[in-house]
Amino acid sequence: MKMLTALLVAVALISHAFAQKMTVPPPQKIKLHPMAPAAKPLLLHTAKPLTQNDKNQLLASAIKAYAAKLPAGAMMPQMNLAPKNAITLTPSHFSQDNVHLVLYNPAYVDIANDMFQFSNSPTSSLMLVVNAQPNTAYYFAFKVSPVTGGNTYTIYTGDYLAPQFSENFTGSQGNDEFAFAVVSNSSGTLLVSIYSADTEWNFINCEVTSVTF
Amino acid sequence: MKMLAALFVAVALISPAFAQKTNPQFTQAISKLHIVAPAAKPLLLYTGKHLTPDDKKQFLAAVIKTAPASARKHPASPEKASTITLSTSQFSQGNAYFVMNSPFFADIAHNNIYFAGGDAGAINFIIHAQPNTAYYLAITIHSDASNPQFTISTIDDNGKHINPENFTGSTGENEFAYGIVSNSAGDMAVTISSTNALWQFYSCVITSSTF
Repeated sequence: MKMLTALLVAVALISHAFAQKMTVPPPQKIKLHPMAPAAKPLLLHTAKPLTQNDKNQLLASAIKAYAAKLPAGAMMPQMNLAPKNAITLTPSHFSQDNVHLVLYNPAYVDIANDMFQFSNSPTSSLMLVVNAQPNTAYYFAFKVSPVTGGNTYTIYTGDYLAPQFSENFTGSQGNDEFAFAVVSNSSGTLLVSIYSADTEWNFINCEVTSVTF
Repeated sequence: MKMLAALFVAVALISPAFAQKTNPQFTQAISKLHIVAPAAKPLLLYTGKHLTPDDKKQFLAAVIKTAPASARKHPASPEKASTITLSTSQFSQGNAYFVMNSPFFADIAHNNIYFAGGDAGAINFIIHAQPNTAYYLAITIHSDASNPQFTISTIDDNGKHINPENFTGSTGENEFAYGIVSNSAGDMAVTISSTNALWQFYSCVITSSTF
């Protein structure tokens, strides 16, 4: 009888999973065409609130990493860390200037009450779409909040169909602020995505700062 | 053995159907509202064409007729009706807003909100209802699928779907209407999902008329 019960439960679970998998529609219709960052993006998580100095150093490091890739004789970037532009995106302010948010398979969306909640799955992700400019470094300071289980996140450039430069980090209790810096050397669409495989999570906000060099 | 096989098939069929009706975040949100039941069974209108002003007028009258006779003190006056519009760029207005369970894709800045068929994807309209008021929701959605199946229902305070109504839409844009009568003050929730098709939400025009 126990085996029969277990079998019935297994059928129920498999059936549900199969039903979901079979009905996920093809995403080609809404696929974006991102460009690659000019250098490997950098991730910063200090387990404390990020200071302006942390942000400046991260931006400087990202630009240095880009400069290191330039061929000998190329013009080196002139770093001017006075931020050109700083905006903050939230669930209810999902688009500003040249940046907007896109949600893939979120668990729950209530824009009127400022809430984006995601499942613990790589296919449930938040994506920032940036209309990037050449010779510009972008700094994304994310605040997220775990709902269940673990506290590990993955951030990468590109969308979930073609992730690049994945970085993982584990948040700390009560402070899940982290930063990601990306350099662009051409005009185009830059995508930055984040998901958690081990916790449902809420997106709180993302501060986006850009610096030209 | 045949009975056992039938039991497996039944469990397999019933399981996804149950799964569609649960979204913990939405259930939690619903539990914080003051959900009231409609005063009568809601009505659905789908003609396969865009709804005309005459369709809407007749439908509103039919909705009001569903109210208990004791509540109908005088006939509704169309000139007293007020209208609000929710859309991909207007998430709340007046006494109504919408929330989404597991949309497949949402690029809200570009008015693209898609729901997948067959999973828990649903859009939910929350209306802060007034007593002795009829609400008429004219909903426009789009699907590229052939014979998309849609379900619309109200929701109780446990997140359960009440009086679900099903209809088969057509490929392309679909406009349909759902009418509810309230005889008390509180929140009413209406949910829409599709069992088999990827679909896109466009707008929901909510007209209310006291009687």
